[in-house]
Amino acid sequence: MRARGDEPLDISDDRWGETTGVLRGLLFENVILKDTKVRPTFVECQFHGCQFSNVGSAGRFWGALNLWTDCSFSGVEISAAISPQNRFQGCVFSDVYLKRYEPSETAFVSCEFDRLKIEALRAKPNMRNRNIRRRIRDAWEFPEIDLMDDQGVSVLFDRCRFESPEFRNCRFAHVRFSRSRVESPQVVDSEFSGASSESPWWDETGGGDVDEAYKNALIEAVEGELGRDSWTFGKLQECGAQYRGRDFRMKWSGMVIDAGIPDAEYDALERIIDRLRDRFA
Amino acid sequence: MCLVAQDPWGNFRFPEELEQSKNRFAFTGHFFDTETDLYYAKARHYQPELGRFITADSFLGEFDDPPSLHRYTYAHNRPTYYVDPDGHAVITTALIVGALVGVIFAEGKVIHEEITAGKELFTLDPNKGVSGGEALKFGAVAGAATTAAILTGGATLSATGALGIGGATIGTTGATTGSALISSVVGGAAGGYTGGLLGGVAAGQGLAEAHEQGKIGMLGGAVAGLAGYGAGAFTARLLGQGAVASGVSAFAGGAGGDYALQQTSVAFGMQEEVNWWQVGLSGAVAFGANYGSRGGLRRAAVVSREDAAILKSIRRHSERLVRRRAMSNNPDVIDQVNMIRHRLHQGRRGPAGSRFHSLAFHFVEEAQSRGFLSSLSREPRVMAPFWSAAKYRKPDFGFSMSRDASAADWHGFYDIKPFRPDPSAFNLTPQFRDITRSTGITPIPLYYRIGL
Repeated sequence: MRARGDEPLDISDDRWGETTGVLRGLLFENVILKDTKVRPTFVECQFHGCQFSNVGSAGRFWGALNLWTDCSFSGVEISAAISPQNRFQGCVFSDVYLKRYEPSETAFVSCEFDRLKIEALRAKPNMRNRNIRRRIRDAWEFPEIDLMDDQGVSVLFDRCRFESPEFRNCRFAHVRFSRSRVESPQVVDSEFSGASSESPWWDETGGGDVDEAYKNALIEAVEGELGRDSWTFGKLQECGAQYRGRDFRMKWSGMVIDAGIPDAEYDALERIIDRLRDRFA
Repeated sequence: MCLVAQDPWGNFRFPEELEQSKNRFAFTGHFFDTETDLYYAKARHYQPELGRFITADSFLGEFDDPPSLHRYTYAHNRPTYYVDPDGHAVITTALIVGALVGVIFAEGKVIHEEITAGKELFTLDPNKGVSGGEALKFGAVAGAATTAAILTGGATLSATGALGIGGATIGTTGATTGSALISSVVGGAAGGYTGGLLGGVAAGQGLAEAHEQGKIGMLGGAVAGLAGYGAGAFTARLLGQGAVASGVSAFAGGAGGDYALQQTSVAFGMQEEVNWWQVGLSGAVAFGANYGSRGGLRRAAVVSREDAAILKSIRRHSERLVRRRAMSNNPDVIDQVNMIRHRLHQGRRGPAGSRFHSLAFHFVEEAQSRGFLSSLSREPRVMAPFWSAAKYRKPDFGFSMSRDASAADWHGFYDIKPFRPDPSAFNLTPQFRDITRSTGITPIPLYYRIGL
């Protein structure tokens, strides 16, 4: 699918929001996709010089094993994306919002990010799967992948520029910033242990604690919905005094549920758990 | 529109013809990629110079069809005899259906000649045989029509089926209502009425008398349709295949309706004895209409063994977590497991099942992030037939590998379901039936058994 001449080809229509399935091995060149939801999953596709604006997607718009070169993403909102084995080169991201982003083996090379907002980033560990490496090599050049394998990096930002990014409740383990510049970042409750860079832009001594932030948000939500006098609130306080950080995150639901949470409060608690799951890595 | 010369393997005899037209759909309707000199045959790419697919067929073949076990050959190495419409299976059933329809039409021609010679419809010589040559001739035409029907979604054969009388309406009624029971009864009744009416007119009765005869036939047809449905349901239980059940149901409904009508005619003295050829004709046409309305051949799910095994292991691992036979260090997973167990404690298996879905989806994402299951769509929206109560159906998992941005080329569906001892327990549910009707693929249930 490519534009004739210099004029980009607008391929926006309602079908992108209706068609599902896997689109494999397609080439998109100089096309525009705007004001739509995108439901299909792209696998082994190439996008060159494409423009995506006001595009929303729940799931795998970025699919697997895709190559994106010189594309622009503006006003794009993607939730629950995993983007395995994707390579972005020379792309521009403006006002892009990634919610519960769990990338793996993804490289951003020479990309520009303006007002990028990421909530609940958690990079999957680099698995160095030989079959996948073979498929990557069959598909196209992915020169960074060997370096990423050697360093145990799963997400690489190489020669990228970030302008006023916002990172909220993110874990940067397995993420590497290489030769990248980050200006005016806003970082809220994010952890940088396991992140790497030749010149770290974050405060190496500090950083937040995602699990503590989760605990506070959970207690606040329970207080808001069930009240301070509720059985669940009291139990959470008790659990919070006993455990901190990761331990609390791992054990609180078991403690509360096994202790016999009243049915009247349980439904509300389930909704709170689901809501927080999208907000915290 | 362009005309190109090709050999049986799809090679272009005059490659310069490729430059004269932008049309790249050539050999058996497949797209020819001029950059790679390969045909895109939906599931795989075909190399015409070698006469081979360049990748192995994910469909592993059938043991009773040895050529299908070779996973690289094209059309069983007989390209003048078979075609391969989707890179998975050659069309051989077209010949069977062609032969069946051929016999039917040859018989129809015999009946037509008898009536033209002055005989009445219900006093034909039942022993007058079918000419082999005639059957072959009609069979060839019908075979071609069937092939076209398979390639074009069954419209041709559906129209062919609609030519019949008697039980022919059963297929289209089934297509309209989407209910096997209703379609069997209504189809049988309509078939009985139509046959009675036409029979009466052919026998020289007035319209009012023929209408009365049609009403008698309608009652008999409805009863026979019900029997046909019973036969279909029994077959479904026996074989676990909705398509076979539907075909048997249609055949039984059509044939039964016609038989009931004829028995009624015999009882009223309007006919000497039952014409079994006519009974078979009605049944076969009903089967044809049903077949056509299904959109041609029912495709086998061709999900690779590896993908299917991953899904099953995900289901098994999720079960083990719920039973506390395995532990996780992921807090999201722990929360999900705790919630499932609590719902089970409450005795609410429905919400527990929903949570079990969420847990399985989490592991599917994990697998996808590692490069597996890349052809899988989670909860894909499959367009339901227009007569369905729902606009879309959403099986839990769908596998597709389409290169067409406007369509999904589905290879198989899996749906997480609570365990049932009957392997076809979900085949007749609205969800499974709609998906089968729309795509020709019956979803495979991924049974789970969770307990405390």
